[in-house]
Amino acid sequence: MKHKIFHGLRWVIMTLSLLFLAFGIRLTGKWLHTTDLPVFSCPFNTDQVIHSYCYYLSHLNKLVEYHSVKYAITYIIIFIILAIVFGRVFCGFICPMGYLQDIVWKIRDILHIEGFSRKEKFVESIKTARYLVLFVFLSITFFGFDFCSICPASITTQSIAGFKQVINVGFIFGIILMILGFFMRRFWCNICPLGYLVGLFYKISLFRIKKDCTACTKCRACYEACPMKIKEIYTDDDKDVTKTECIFCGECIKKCPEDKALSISIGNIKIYTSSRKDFEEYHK
Amino acid sequence: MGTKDEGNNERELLIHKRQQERYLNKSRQISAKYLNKLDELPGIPTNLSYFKSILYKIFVENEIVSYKENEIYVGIFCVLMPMELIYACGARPVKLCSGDYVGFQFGDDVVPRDACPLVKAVVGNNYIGNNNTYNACSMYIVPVTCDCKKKMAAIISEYKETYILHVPINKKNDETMDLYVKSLHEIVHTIEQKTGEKITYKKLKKSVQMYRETQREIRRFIELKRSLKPLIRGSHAMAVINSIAYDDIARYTKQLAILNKELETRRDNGDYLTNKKLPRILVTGSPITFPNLKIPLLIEEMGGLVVADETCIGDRGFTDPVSVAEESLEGYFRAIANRYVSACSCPVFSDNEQRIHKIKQMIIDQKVEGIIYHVLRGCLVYDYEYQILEQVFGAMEIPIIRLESDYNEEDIEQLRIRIEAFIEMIKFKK
Ligand code: SF4
Ligand code: SF4
Ligand code: SF4
Repeated sequence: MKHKIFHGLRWVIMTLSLLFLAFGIRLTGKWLHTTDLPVFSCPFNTDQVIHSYCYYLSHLNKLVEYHSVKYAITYIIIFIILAIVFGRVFCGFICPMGYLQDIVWKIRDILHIEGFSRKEKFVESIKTARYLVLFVFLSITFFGFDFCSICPASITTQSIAGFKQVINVGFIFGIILMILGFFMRRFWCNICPLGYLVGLFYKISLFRIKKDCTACTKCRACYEACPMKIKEIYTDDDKDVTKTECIFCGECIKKCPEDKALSISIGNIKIYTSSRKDFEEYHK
Repeated sequence: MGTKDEGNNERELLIHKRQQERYLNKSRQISAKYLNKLDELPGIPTNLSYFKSILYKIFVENEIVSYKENEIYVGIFCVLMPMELIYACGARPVKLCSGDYVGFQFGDDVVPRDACPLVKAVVGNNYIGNNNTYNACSMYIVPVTCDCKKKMAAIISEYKETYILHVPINKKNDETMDLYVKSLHEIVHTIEQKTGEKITYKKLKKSVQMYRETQREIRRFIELKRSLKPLIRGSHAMAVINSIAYDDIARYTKQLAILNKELETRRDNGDYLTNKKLPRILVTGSPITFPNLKIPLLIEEMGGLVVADETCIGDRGFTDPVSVAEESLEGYFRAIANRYVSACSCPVFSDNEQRIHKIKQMIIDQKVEGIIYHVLRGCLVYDYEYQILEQVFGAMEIPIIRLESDYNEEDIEQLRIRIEAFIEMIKFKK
């Protein structure tokens, strides 16, 4: 039963989040555009007064340029606090880019088309790409470019809200990533610089993945299911197996057939735990 | 010269014929004896008769359990050959890992003295050639786990088409797992040629579902078996799990559900085997297959209760379900590979610390009070792991003993003395 609540909630929140980020402005009127949205406020910013984290992270110089040093410091502190409290829960529940990738993967599932499964090789090969993209994301502004014009996430809220009809580099990039995401779940998320930064504080963040190694049979099911390709989730023998890549999507727990082997917890409170009963129910 | 040769041939044929007769007589006798022993053990559930009838048919009547005409049987060894795949190709798997004492005697002459009795029995059965369960199979599939199985594959390939399945040595390595999946594809291809049916996503999904059903019943069964006040004896339970090897899986599941129902009713009525606290024993180690049930039988005759079974022909093969992450044919293949190899706690893998975790979990779940570690003479891989287990469980103060045995009844008295002492010790500790 629990899996229905957790995953149902996840899909509902993701859908609402996309709708909100794309159409929020239409529903509530213009006032929203003076409010700061944490991310992806691109559709709200037709007049380019942007107040969002992803914008400022990719335009660090603007932080001081538009505001003050004090503002910049407050901004970064708030970012760190949010990252510690929520971490990549953002990726699993809020980000529309992640949501769209989940949708294309679901479509593949329905069509029974074979996905790309070489996880270890893939992780090996994108290691450098990840840092390269991060570097571009953080520094492109200092070379006088605008990250937003190549941002693959522009395919999400902007185009859905119908704000931007121009097919720019980012848009095409986004389409390509969706196709790749069709064959490999959350392809982009494995490289995404925003996700990387949000996940930096995983060691002290509030959300945890916990494991009972005695109950675990090392069946690989969690690794097989993990969209972030975290192998340690099945090989590790620790009590806490939270990794920086983890987006708390709960897929591993849903696919784990062993009672109490894996769980997501907030602090010490377990909110979603694997169970054979759930597993059997899910597979009926 | 020619006539002499012919004469020799005739003589050989005659000898072989006599061997065959001797084989059948003796093996029937022993199987019937062990079926009787199961009956004599008090508290046998009424609905166990179905499972006994399967064993009776195979071992005493020497006939395959068949429900359809022209059904194609694929003989498999080990728990590492996924049965779902065989069903999905339209054939039926028959597990041939043998506990046959008489086959063992004949095999003893063919394979080296130090080979394990299971391999001797399989080879012996092939050599003697009138075990109809073996004869009914169209092909054999041998996962190459230990050295004995490897050489066994070579020998039995002289009698029947035999395919080997490569098994990873290290389970954590992604590439070797990929190779295993590839090997599965090759095997499936050969089965497809036999049946003329192609494996599809739909068929595979269906057969996986079918096995999930079985697993659900087996889990229910294991949960009943672990009841603090006993509902069923471990020897009886082993016979139930053993007979899965020879039955059609859907039928088997239905029958097991009936047995579970009976046990549940008994539990609800408070109708337990006994109200006494019997020493709760976990049996692990080398395979225990019918009719070689002497160890569980001895344990229970001596007043113990086998509440947990971690052997591969026993519960191990059916505790883990297939968990599919990707709904596609390939996704199912990989999910099956994960379940059969990654979740398997067989000591043939180089990394196997999970077996200790698994046994620890069983000790918690089943409230185990002592471990009997069974080693078939010559079964090295299991013998290797005894030391680790002894260390770990010694530190946890769970008594553990190692029992070596062979496929004959000569060691029974010696085993009895040791098992009795072990059980007395546990009783004394309480
Ligand atoms: S990794 Fe990036 S694209 Fe993926 S969900 Fe997180 S922020 Fe969104
Ligand atoms: S470890 Fe589990 S919760 Fe984290 S990303 Fe992987 S599947 Fe999702
Ligand atoms: S799915 Fe569960 S039992 Fe399997 S390896 Fe992962 S944590 Fe362990």
